[in-house]
Amino acid sequence: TEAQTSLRHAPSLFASTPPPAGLSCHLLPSPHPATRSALPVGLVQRTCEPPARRVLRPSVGSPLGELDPGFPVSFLRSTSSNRRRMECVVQGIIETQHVEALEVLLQGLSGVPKERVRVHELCLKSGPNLGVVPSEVRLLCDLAQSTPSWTIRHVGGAMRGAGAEQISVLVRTIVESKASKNVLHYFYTIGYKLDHELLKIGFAFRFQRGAQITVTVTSTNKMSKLHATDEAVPVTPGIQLVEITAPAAADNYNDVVSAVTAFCEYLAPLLHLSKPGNTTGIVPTAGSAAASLMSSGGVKTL
Amino acid sequence: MDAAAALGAAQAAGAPPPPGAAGEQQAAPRVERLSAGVQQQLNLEGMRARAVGLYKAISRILEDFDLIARTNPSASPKWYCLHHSSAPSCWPERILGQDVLGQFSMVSMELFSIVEDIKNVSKVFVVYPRNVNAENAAILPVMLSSKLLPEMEIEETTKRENLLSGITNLPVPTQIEKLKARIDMIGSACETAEKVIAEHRKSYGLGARQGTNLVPTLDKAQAAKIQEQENLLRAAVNYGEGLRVPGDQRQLHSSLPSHLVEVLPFGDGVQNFGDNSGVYPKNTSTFAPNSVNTQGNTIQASGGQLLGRPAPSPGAAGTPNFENVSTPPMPYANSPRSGTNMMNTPSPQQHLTPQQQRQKLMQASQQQQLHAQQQLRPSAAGMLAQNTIPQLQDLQGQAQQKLQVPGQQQMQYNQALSQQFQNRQMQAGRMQPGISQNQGNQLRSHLGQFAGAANSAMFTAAQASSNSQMMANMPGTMQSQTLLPQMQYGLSGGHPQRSHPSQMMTDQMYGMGTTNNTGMMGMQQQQQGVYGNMQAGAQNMQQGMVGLQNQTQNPNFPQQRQQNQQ
Repeated sequence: TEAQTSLRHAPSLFASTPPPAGLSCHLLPSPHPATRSALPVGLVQRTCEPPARRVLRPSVGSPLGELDPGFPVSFLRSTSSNRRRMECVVQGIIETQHVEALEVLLQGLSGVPKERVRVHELCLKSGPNLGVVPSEVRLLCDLAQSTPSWTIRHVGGAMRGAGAEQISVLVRTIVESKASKNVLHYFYTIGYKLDHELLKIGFAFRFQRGAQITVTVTSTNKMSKLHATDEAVPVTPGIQLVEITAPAAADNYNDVVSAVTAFCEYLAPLLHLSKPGNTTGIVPTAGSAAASLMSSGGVKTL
Repeated sequence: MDAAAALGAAQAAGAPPPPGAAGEQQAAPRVERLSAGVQQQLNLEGMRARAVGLYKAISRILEDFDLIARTNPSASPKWYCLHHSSAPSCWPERILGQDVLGQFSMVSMELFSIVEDIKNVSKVFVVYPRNVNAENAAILPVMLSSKLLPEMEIEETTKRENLLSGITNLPVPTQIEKLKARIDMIGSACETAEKVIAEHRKSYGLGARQGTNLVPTLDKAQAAKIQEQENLLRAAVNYGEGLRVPGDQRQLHSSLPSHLVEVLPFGDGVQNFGDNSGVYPKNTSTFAPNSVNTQGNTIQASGGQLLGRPAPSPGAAGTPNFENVSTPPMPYANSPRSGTNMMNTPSPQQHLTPQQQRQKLMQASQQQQLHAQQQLRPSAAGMLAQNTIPQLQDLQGQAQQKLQVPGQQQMQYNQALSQQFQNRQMQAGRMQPGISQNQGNQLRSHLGQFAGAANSAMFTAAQASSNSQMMANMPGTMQSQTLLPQMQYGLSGGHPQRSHPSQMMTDQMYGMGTTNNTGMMGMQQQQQGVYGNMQAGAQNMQQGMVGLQNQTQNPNFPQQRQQNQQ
């Protein structure tokens, strides 16, 4: 089949980037003894920068048991996140005119400097060779740094049940992993297709407040031409998206949920936050709240 | 009038003789005495004494004020306790302030009690007008009732003189006009002052002081527009609606951005061909990428159809997962603000403290556990039979796709484990059907994870079909540290004799679980008897397999079996 052929002849992608300090690579496969030399030499040695290069080939006909060496892309995860497969997330919208005020508020609440966010998000869907029902994988390329870094993100289903209904925060399984920059090519090779892409530009605050909370305020942009990140236009010019996420594990998600909701209360004058599926509308007090935040007379002597 | 004058005389002058009787005696030659009862009740002497004492206290206070005013003309006695003013000059003020406040209550109480006592006996005395004639007989009662005290009379005359000082010589209508003009001027000045204050209040965001919350409400059209925009944005971010470019328009018109230049050697077009020639060895450049490209293009075109299905996208399938949020009790994660209560005062959670919420959650989860455990026993087989077919055909196997990526990672990881662990897993796998109910608690957290992974039908089926399938999933997703204790517990708590009758169950379940990719993950390390079933369900296995494998999988089974039998 075509997929098989492409697998056979795909250039061997690699575990190229050595793990950053502090992360342990549980998943880096051990070098596979090259018992199968079905591939021509020219395909094996793909030149890439880092010296710690592991040449791996997708083994043709390898069963589940031998998938280890066939794994061409490195997935790096930290040990602490082994159990943390979930995240608590809420979303809200804010008018673009009030974003500055929100930044002021977040700066005050968090006490950390803001980070610029410029992420090119590519959403890939698997093709028919990978199953009847397509799966979705999101690749995030962080363009804010000098060297772009890639992350794979798989969004799982949300927690359900009576307990989930009670809490106003969405708790869902998530798998996130840094990846080498070949990840896009790799997914294309194994049959994923680009479903949609978007560019998120904004800022984020990461801080610890009962839980490791990340508040991201971004303007979501779409690209009319493929991959044209320079020509991205906002999907909704007047409204930006605010997303608050916090990683959680199955045993501590209650605490994380309460930490997130407690923090959300501080933002109540400016915006409503809810689970990603729910619409919220804007807050009527946003204008006056923003005005009071932006006014320099905030420190009046009484 | 007599009594009032008499009482006034008693208070002011403090004349010793009982004024009531004395007044009467002086006015009329007849010797009249108040009745003994009234005299006792009135207790005029006592009353006089009290009045005198009150008078003295008030005059003393006034003297102190005068003293302060004379010694320190700029100061004003501060009426509140000044703890922080340590200057000696203001000590007398401070002390006086406290003093006066302390005495004020006593003074006012004393006055009040005196007035009350007098009221009690005032009905005995009657105001007797002296000068009554036909002229004023009609309005005399009114005049009597509104007669001012002498002091008040004096006050009024002085005020009148001040007011009409400049215009008393003019005729009355003119006086009236002038007074009206004065009133209007004062009125307009008040209005402008009010306006200025309101403006400043608005600009500083203080809101109206009167308590009416001036919350700007959006008109319907604006709210609708914003809602529409919001839906667009949320759909775009969460589900990618509105961002999908049709396949024919996906040609790369401009050059790739820098972060994609190296990554996509050929993109969807051939414009970057030359750029990446250094990356690929040239002898293969014509071969591999073209196949990828053409394949990509053709599949993309058909992918549009594939994606047009309502079920596939996890976002769309996420909506059944989101069904629980359609009517949440708390639509907002933070409680909406209604008024002028501004920053940094978080209002409490709607009516649940975090502790209560947790308790509620625990209760809810406990109820879930009970429910699931009840489902554990009865009709497990029945559900299996029912669910095998739908599971195979129903393309709701989101779980397999969702867990593909983590499954891949887990496969790697598990391969790195020792053989002993694999053996242990195998044995534990056999024990799994026999796990007692009290392990359901431990599994609940894992089930919670998988609640999202499986849709509702599969979830309940998995629950009903005992935990072995979930346990099968566990090796696929759990780490060894968390897994081992549970496995051991399963070993100790399990009933060996149940393994055989449950063997059939597991076989069937694994037959069902072939559509569940995570079941596949676990299966590779567990019971080898499963593979017999897997042969039968090879078709489903193909579907469930991660794309890392090729399509013909039956030949792989013996290899798998060999591995796991070690």
